[in-house]
Amino acid sequence: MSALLEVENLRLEIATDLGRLYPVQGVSLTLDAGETLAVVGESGCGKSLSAMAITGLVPSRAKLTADRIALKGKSLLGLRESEWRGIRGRRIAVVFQDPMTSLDPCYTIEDQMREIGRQHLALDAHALRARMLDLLRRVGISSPETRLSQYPHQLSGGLRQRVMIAIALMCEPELIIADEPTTALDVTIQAQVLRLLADLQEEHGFGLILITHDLGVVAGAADRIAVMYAGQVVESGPTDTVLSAPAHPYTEGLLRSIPVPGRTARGAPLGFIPGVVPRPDAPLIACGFINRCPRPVPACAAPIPLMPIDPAHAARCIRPCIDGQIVERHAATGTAA
Amino acid sequence: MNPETLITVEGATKDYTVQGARATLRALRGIDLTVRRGEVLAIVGESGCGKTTLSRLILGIEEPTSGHVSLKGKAATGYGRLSRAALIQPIFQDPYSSLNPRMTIGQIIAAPLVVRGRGSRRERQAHVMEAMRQVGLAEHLRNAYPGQLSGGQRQRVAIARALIGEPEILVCDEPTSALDVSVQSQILNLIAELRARFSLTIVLISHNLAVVHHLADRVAVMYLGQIVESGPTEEIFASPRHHYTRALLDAILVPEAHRRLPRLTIDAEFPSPLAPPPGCAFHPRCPAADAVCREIDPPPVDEGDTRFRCHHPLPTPT
Repeated sequence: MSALLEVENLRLEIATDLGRLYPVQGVSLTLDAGETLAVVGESGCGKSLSAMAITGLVPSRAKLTADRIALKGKSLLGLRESEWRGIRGRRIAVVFQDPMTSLDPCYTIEDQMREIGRQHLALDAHALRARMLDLLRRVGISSPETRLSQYPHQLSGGLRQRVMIAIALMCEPELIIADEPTTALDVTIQAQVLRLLADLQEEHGFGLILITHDLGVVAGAADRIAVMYAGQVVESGPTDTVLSAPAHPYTEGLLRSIPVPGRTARGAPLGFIPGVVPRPDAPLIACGFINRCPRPVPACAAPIPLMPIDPAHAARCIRPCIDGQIVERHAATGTAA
Repeated sequence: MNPETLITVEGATKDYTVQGARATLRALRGIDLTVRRGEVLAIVGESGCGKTTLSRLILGIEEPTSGHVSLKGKAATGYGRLSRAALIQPIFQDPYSSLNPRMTIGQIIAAPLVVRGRGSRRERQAHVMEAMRQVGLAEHLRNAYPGQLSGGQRQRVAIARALIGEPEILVCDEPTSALDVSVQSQILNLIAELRARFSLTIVLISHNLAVVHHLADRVAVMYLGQIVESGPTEEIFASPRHHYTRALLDAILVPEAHRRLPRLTIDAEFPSPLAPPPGCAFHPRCPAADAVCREIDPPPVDEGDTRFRCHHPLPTPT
């Protein structure tokens, strides 16, 4: 059985006025139906570009290459725009960070939901309206009739994000890509929207790619994590494994830099990662983290592949931390040195 | 002897007319607050709760509609521009918009000295270098422009600029929210270090309770223009009395294995500040609300060092 989504060796090259950029350098991901994969990383790591590339949305002047991008075994590479229209919004839906900019301010909620329905669903006006009301109710909106006739600015941020999720669900998509869906929301609303996505996933069985910079969001919400750094996946594995036993020094550094009430000593210095992310103006010819790494060795000055630690857990590091020990590995074979 | 009180807010309200003067938004509805010298007070709450308005009153940028805000016993708006700047300085959330893009880093940091006509050019230069060193900025960045710096570096510039006039109070409005995780911790460390070195008094405005727990001595939780609970950080986190505080604490998402998403006991929607609910403003979202809560706004209750406004407070652990 093939996975819901397979991405192999995804690369993006963007020609800009200041030269060529390489923001995504060989990203591979897989996702099963009903599963949540969190793609985690800091600004500029290529997480959003990678996810949008899956839906065929790339910046103008960008060149996308990949060995494979497939939904349920069927390749999405080289589709024409007309073919994409049957997939985007219908089989793959996207929920963006800021619902104020992704909803059109000039149209009511009903107009915007109907637009998607008319494009993709063969329903008469009456059945379509019934479906809209039902979906709004399912995302926890208490007076859906009123909300349908309102404009985005009349709704709170939390409500707008619920509307976005309802729109994403219009066509029962197989895959939902949520790009920082709760970053613009207040903390109590954030918890509720994440809970809503999880409940809906249980009910509908869609695969969910959750793009976030917040490892706290990941902890409760994702089955697996892919940590991205400088355009590459540097560590991937089951959420609990990655959070409790991070193998890559970047993942380790991130986790150490977040204060946790009850665990980190109040006022004591937090861990941090010195240095800055390399500019994406050339393909990496060494480990992308080499300049910020606490334990680099000369062998790190070569491209490092993503190497398995166990069948589910992998790290792009020749000196990963395994069971609390730094283990030396060969980049060529991925085996212990 | 108790340390000197630097900031006193008494019964402060703030109204704004909105919708073309057709409506009044009461952003603050009776705030009482004191901050003592050397203390870090955190103000937490969700967007629209009035925390930024309160910070503007403390900074003396705006006058309260009623009530008083004083700094060292004198009205916050009663200071001259320069004397106020020598006493209290803000650090804003977004280091991308709070620095003038056409000034060099050296000019930005020196500006407070220039405005005050302090020192010769050479002395100011030395002072700027010292400030840059204190916040961890490399010397050569003096001639760079904000656009050439990373977010973390820019926030360091903002901090250096705030500190160069040796203020007694810093008001930090979400100082790390716009920064990446790996940079956030460096800025938090810097704030903690500078606080200790210069015995700064800090008002920290944040929605991030983990950050608040890490830095603050005392916490004030705001909801719809009121402080609904305040007290020592450890006590508030260990045993919150207000149901809203409980919900905020439950909503903290911690990056640890085997966590599950919290199921909050409160309802989703934040009411419009234009029409705050009668009685306790929190009652429409509160799991413990009853008829009393719908009619009577709970007065503040003091228990030990904690103060809260709730008819049915959560029990303290025995």
